[in-house]
Amino acid sequence: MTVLAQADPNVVLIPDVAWSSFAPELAPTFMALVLLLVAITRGREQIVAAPAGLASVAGGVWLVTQGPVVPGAVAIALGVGLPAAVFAFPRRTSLVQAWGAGMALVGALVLTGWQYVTVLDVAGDGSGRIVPQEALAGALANDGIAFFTRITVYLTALIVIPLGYGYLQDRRINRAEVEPLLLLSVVGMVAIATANDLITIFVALEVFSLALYVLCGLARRDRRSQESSLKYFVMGAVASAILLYGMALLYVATGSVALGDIGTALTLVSTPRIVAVLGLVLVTVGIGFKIALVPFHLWTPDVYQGAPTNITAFMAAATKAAGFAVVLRLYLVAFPGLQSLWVPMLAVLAAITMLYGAYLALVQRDLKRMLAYSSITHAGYATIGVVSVSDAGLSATLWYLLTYAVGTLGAFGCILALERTRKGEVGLLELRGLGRTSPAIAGMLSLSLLSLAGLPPTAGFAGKLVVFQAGLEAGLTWLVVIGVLSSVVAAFFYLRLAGQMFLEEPDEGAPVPVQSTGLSAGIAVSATLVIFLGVQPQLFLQLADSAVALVP
Amino acid sequence: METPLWVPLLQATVVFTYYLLLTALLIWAERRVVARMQSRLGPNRVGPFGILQTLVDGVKMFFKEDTTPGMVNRSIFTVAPLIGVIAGFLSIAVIPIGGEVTLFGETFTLVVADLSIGVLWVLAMGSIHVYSVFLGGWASNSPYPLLGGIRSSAQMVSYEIAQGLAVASVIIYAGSLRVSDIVAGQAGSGFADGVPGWYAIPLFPAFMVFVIGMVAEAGRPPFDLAEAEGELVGGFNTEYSGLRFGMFMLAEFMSVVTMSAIVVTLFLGGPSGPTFGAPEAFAGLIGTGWFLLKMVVFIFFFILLRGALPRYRYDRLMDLGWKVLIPVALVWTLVTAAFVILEQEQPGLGTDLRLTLASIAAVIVGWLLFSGREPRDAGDGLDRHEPAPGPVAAPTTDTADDGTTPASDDTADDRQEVAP
Amino acid sequence: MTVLALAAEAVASGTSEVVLFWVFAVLALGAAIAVITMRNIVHGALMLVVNFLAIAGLYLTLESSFLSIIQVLVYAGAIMVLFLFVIMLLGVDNDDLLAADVRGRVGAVLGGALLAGALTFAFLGPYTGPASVCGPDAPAAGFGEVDCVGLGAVVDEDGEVIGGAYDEDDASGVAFLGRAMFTRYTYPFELAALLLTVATIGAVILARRRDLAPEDLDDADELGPDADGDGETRAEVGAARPVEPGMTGEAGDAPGDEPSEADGVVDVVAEPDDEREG
Repeated sequence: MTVLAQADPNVVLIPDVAWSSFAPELAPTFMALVLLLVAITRGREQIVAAPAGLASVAGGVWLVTQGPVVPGAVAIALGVGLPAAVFAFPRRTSLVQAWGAGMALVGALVLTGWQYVTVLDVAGDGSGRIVPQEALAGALANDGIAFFTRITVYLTALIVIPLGYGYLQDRRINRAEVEPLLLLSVVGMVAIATANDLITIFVALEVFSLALYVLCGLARRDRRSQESSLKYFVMGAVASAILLYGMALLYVATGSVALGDIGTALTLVSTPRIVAVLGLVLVTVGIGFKIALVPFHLWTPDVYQGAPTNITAFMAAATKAAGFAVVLRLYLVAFPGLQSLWVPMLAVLAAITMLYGAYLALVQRDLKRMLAYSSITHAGYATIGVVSVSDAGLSATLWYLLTYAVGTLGAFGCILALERTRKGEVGLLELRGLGRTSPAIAGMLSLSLLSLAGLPPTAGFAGKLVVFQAGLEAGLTWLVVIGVLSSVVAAFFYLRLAGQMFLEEPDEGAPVPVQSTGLSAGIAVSATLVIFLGVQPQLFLQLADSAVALVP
Repeated sequence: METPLWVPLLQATVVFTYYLLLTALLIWAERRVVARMQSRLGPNRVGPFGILQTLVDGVKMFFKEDTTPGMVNRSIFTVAPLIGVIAGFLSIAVIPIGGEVTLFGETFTLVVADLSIGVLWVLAMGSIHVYSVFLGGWASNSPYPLLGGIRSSAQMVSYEIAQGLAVASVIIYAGSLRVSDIVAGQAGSGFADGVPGWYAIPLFPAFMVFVIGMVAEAGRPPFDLAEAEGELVGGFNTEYSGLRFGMFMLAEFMSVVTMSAIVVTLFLGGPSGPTFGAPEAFAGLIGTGWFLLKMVVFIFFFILLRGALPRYRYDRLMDLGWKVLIPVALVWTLVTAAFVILEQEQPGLGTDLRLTLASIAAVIVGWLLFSGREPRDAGDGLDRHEPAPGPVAAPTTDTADDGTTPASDDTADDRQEVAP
Repeated sequence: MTVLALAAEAVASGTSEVVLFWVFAVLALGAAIAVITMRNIVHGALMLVVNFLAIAGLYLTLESSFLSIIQVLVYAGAIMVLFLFVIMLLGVDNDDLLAADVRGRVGAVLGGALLAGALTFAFLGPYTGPASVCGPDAPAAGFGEVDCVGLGAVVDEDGEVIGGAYDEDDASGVAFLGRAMFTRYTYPFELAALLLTVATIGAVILARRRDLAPEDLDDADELGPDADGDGETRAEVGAARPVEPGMTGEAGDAPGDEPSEADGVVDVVAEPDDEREG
């Protein structure tokens, strides 16, 4: 702030815009806006798609001639791809939108890779770590957290779009706003993962929260969906207010909103400690709500159950990744000075979360609700990595969130398949004998559940292993023991469910799950990832390890 | 340079008296002019040409019984008209009544307070004024006032956006929020010799938006939906009488005067004008004269609108605000900003280029104006053949009712007869 | 007592800013308490307006008149009007809102008191000395004190400006805000644009009462996917038939989904627009 104040008021400081630092987000952002316009045309998509595509191609060609080839290529590909989709699916706006959104997310993933290779640049010191980059006047930090969260969030959204396409059609809630909102919430999530000051964190949080509130209430005539939306909105607003209050106190205590400066200021003696601590507590409450740690989890089951299932899948996987990204950066960059306070606090929260979530998951009758409690439990596991306060813990958390995301996506994908024929909630008892009637879905569901339980050879196992390792290294044996305990409880339950599916006889007239291309593809991809990450974790683990570098 | 105490006192006294006087004259002038337009005489008994009619009306209103209906929310019912009057007075505070005056060796402008955020102050007071209408309607605990209150507050809030954007382009062009800076920026000649440097010329669309917006903001015909007699009896003030009704009246007419003063200040150069080589000491006085003249033109414009135009239908009013005025104002704000940046970056930019850019921008604005109207007529035609149901859709009664029958001449006593 | 002593000291030192601060602070707090204790909800909302105005006053004492007037314009002038709109249109019953149970209220009061106490304790020390008052006369913070917050200048003993953001040419603080917003905070600013986009889309989705995209699952459960048995689902029915003005819903509307009283009132205001949207 002071730097700005002393600047000559007559000189307009035009900040250097490091476009590459947020290049991956540009693809979904622009695609969301174009898709919104496409939606207005009511069947004459080419009116918007053609000029938008042309502009994108032109921009891409210009970029290629200027130097950055990959972004240019992505722009050209998107510029060609969207009109092509319009041409291929005339008068089917929702299909065009799904394809457009998918392409944008692929583009974002490609750009993330490009960023990793060129901009972030693996450090030449042999450590294999990326060199973090601070951009946009310090508002944005392009470090490991940002990089890995980008992968998780974009991948999640990319899988969710085909998963949910048929479901939205069936329930007739394939509104034109779904894909744009989804893309914008993805942008918000990535923005919060890259945010390096309190203001950016808050605005980004609101971007994706607001989009999710609306997406939860998509089913206008479904009262549970409406309830879910309202509940999420009201409680989310309260949590945001608390978070904002905490941020204000932090600013008051440290005189800065930049995380790095806060981190420095909190180590100084002159910083009023009580104010900072109050800020920290309030921020923890606010963030704890978003990642559903236990005392602040009350919204989760109702919201997850009521929301359209594909949105639930997206929320469960992506929101958690984004929330933990901000937790990691906040606590490791801004709050090291208060470590003695927040480490025990978060550790206790994690312990309660793991036990309580596992216990309540046991007594659920509804599959979606059960997965909601499971997601709460998993927030507890991921927190172990945070309270380890080490490089290993950091990379473990990031890695854990990816494994959790693929597992939960697979599970929700199977629910989508079941729900589409059952027209409503899927009770656990209805799963009896599913292995006989449709072995594919039952197999995929069991696999995903095993991954969520953390059994080998699935991704969940690899995730838990790394997190627990980090916890042990940090001397948090008690926490790890609680974690293992809660996993055992969950594993018992998931295994019983799998047994129910394969060993018991199906009920009379039990409906057969729907198989559609998008759904099958989505489930297949997540199941493949579950296996792949479980058997061959090295590739992504390496990425996660290389991602430990933080912007100071 | 310490200012002696009598200067601010004098400023405050003179300015407030001046505008109150103008308001009183406006009420009289309106009745006279509208009467002329309807081939009547209007008030002509009290004083020369009936000029003192407002005074005696005021006295009458003051001594009339001020009834409070039984079911109203008493506290808010009482506070609502006060809010209107107070907001009206406060918004006057930042508006000068002329150029600089030199008196007893002190040079000052006749303004109560030249705030650093003067322009926004006016807008803010306008938005506070909404409460008066809104709360008055609600506190009456009666359906028509409630509808009137809701309608007009929605109207005011909507038009505030357009107006705010129009003001934003003035602010950007002038580079200051201070009223005196904005006035100073318009002194001298504009892009050609002999053409005044008034912002109304480079910012013409913003000027238009502001003028339309100010009519709506003041709740004046043809946008006086709040008190549409044909539909809502008297609108938000149906249940009011006596002094409190008088306060609503005063606030409404005062806002006409203030709005005129603001538009003159922001867009028409305030007190700027030829001084005919008068000595320095009189220049300020002449400026005050110019200011008054310009203001009277606008006040007259308000009166003419009232006499000539039928009332808008509510949905069309909202259409106009949201689909035409706001886009136009927004585009022009952006264009203005681009101009200002261009001017800074390329100071030697030729007039030709500027004119070209201006015409391109004008085309965009024109297109927006047309495209705002088009879907309605090119659409499915539901609207044209079958007016939408509900109490708002009564355009025929609207047009017949206002401005043609003397009964709608809404001075205080007439109104009392309509709604006893 | 501390408060009074502080106020007295401030008056003695001639800083009218501090007096104003206390006036506005008490007003803001009192109004805030009134918001949650008023029995009449409209009165409560009006108290919130008073609170906003008092906070605008606090901004003034921080020498940020631009922020102050924007607070009046946006919060008091626009947002609260919309608030009142909703309250008045829905006709919220006062009793509905006060049905909180006593235990919850006691807990809330205790929690609030605890937080307030902690905050008071935390702030009294470092934030209340002479250095906390911004402006050209403000001394630099001593040990255990914190520089003033706001746009005022921080000056050392010799009158040199050493901190703060006071700028004579920019007394309203608008240029300062502009510079901050478009240099250091460009990224959150642009994100805020996305936020508004999302909010607008959400508002449109929630506000459009008559969906032509027909009802989903729950109705289907109640009525069957093809209730009238003519072989077309309601999607097709809805799409094939032009919407007639005044029609309150499609044929297959779920029971209980009829427009409520409140909808009726909205109709009066917004009906024609709605027709075209349909």
